[in-house]
Amino acid sequence: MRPHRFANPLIAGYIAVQLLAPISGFFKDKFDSWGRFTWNMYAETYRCRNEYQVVDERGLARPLYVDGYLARGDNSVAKAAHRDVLPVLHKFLCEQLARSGTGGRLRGECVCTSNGAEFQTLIDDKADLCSAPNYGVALR
Amino acid sequence: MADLAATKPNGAWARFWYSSGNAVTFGIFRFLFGIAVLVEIGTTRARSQFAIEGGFHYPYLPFIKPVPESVYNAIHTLEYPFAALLALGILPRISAAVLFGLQGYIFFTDRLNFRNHPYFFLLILLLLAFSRAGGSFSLPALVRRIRKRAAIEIAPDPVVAPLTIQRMIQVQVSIVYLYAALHKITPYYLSGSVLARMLEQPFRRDCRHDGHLGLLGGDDCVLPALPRPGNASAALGARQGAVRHGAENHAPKGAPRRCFANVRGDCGQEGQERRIPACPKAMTERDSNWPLACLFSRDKLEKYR
Repeated sequence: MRPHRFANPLIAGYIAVQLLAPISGFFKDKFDSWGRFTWNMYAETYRCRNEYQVVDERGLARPLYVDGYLARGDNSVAKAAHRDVLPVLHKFLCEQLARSGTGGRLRGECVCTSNGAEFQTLIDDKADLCSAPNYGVALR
Repeated sequence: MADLAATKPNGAWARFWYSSGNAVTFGIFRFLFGIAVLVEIGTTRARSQFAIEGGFHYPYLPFIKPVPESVYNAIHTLEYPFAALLALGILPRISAAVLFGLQGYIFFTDRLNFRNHPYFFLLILLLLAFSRAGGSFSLPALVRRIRKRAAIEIAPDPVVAPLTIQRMIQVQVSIVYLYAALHKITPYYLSGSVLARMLEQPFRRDCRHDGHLGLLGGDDCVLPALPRPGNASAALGARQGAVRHGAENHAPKGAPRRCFANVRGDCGQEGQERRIPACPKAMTERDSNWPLACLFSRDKLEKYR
């Protein structure tokens, strides 16, 4: 078979992309990102507890069910519990609060464990997420 | 000798990528992959709903917009005939290209839609769109064979085709398993703990139907029973179905639905107590027999901060 003149570069390029893209998975842990495009399949367990509250001027805290904003289906809440997604989610929640005219501060708590051994708090649970740097998501 | 050294790698490369062979194996792969796509459509429809407009989105690219729910459903329904055509080997390149477009749009609409199966399927569909996968083990090939037999009464020659795309799929699958294996070379995985947790999953009760919020695969009762939002306005701007899902599916069976509170406060009730299960005093962080809420209770948490 006589290959097309672009066949070699195309094959080499495809293989190179497929080999290079997953490497980022070795530099980011599960707290940073879900692990998209890394082929990190079932290699670790990752569980989180995250809750949000709106605290009004009187100091009364009311729960904000974030899963009401997310798509149906499994893992919706879990997929948001990573440092790369949480700031975007908090920005969205703050916009929704502002749009609704609801006063008060948005507070949150997100604690995750990787492999049941390492625990990390991803949100500053004392901060107003709408005014805190990086929307209250703790940096690594 | 110098000539041999210069030509040998090139020769191996060319032999690997551009040799020809029996196309039946590739045809069988195409058939089975088409069946797999058919089966996966339902799963993707259920689990890629971040592609539906409304609610929270985290897009890859701003111009790939979420679609209305009716369009979302139509896209998935449209995939069925093309998956069937792919499996049967009828217009396999066009079918693969159309499936790549339909599934790719849903996949790239939102980053939270990412799952390994659809991503892998997209890569294979892309490769199949450049292949001659319909030459063997397909309905057209069967028709050709029957016609040929009827005409000249001899068995047809085996189909020979370039193996380039077949090789690329082999390499692609090898890359998947290479990285999957590398990620698993950790003490925790090698201890068997991850597999043990996965094997026990089918035997766990589904907490989401028991008043618990199942997080991360829904396999754990990570929170004690929480009252759920009780009406469609409970979460601002949320799509109706999502709220309905939260309110009804999470409610304990037989229990009256309670309107708790939401950011608008239009439920009018506040401050109901949560039932926190009693956590054992002596508990290790790896003991999975206790609700995760115990692991995350404040006093236990302090030492991890």
